[in-house]
Amino acid sequence: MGSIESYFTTIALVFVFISIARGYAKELSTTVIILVAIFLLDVIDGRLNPLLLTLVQTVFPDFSTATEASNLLLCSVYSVLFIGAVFANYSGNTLNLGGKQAGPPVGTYISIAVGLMNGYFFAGTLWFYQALYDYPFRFFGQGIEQPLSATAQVMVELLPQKLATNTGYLMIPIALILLLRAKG
Amino acid sequence: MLSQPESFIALLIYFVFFGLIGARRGWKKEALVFVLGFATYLGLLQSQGRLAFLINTGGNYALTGFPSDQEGLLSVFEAPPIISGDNQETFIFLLWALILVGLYFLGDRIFKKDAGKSQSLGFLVGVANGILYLSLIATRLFPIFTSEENLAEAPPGTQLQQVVNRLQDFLDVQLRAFFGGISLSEQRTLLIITIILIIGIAAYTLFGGRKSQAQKK
Repeated sequence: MGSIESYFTTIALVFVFISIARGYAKELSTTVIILVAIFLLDVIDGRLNPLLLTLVQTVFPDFSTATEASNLLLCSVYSVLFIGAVFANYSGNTLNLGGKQAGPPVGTYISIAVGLMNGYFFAGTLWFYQALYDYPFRFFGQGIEQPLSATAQVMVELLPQKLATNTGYLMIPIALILLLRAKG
Repeated sequence: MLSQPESFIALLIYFVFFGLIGARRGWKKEALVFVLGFATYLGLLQSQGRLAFLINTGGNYALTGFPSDQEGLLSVFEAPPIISGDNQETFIFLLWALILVGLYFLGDRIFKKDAGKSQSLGFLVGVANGILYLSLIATRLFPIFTSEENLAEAPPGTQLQQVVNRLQDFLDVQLRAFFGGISLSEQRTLLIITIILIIGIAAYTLFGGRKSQAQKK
């Protein structure tokens, strides 16, 4: 496998293309869902871990909670929950914020910026859970390139969950959207 | 290396590319970008010293809390400059790049209906813009591709990979240089401000000043 910043950049770029195709009016609703998902996962993260591990140990008595397997399990659970929340917004009834999108070229530039931001939130969150549980995919014999490059070491300190001491700050952008929505 | 026929073909492709953009956009828009783009660059070069002095004095005056006493005013002139001799050229180039982007928007606004029908004239002015960018922008890209070994002499098929590698190395160095200059908490603050700005601008252009469809109902 390759360097983690390459994966991060690739995922962010995919989000840019999605945003250009769908338009930022729809992508802004994805931003809301992503921010809410990050916030909720941060609230339950840690509190849910003992329950999950006990549950797995009940079903599989040989399962040890202090192994790489438990890290892999926890990392997978949070990653799947997060991906599920974002996927649900794309596949189901998209949260409709309404409003009229600016025309090109301004609208396209805003779509690119919003796509980049969503890509940062999405790829950054997946990276955060990888880092939190010590990059557990090496359990399968391959994983993220280690040690992290100098660039990745800088980037890992700037992941969405690390921007402030608690993720409550994520409600500020949502409040901003709702305030402007109410005004509009 | 000037005798390489590939270089001549590459230059032709480059000019044809800019010519086609000019033909498509219209000669009036292209001429506006060429004339004002070139003039502002020369103007910025001429006035860079005065501009730096104004920004340094004004910026430090604001940073020191708009002092009115003699001691405070002295500290304004003694404070380290915001734009020093080392970063003056970078600042001028950044300012010019912003003006250049603005000129494209301005051209689209001014010549909305009639941008000039002559495609051949558009092609020619487009090529002129190509020459302008070659001298002002392309020359600044050369250091990325001319370091170590010559890219044009790399084995066929590996050139694209080498370009990607060099771009990645270049971005790595630039990122580390940028983030190395400011502390981690400042980096985080910068990122939060950027996120709020993107969301604010996107939400404002969506809802600001217009009634949304839900409200119309």
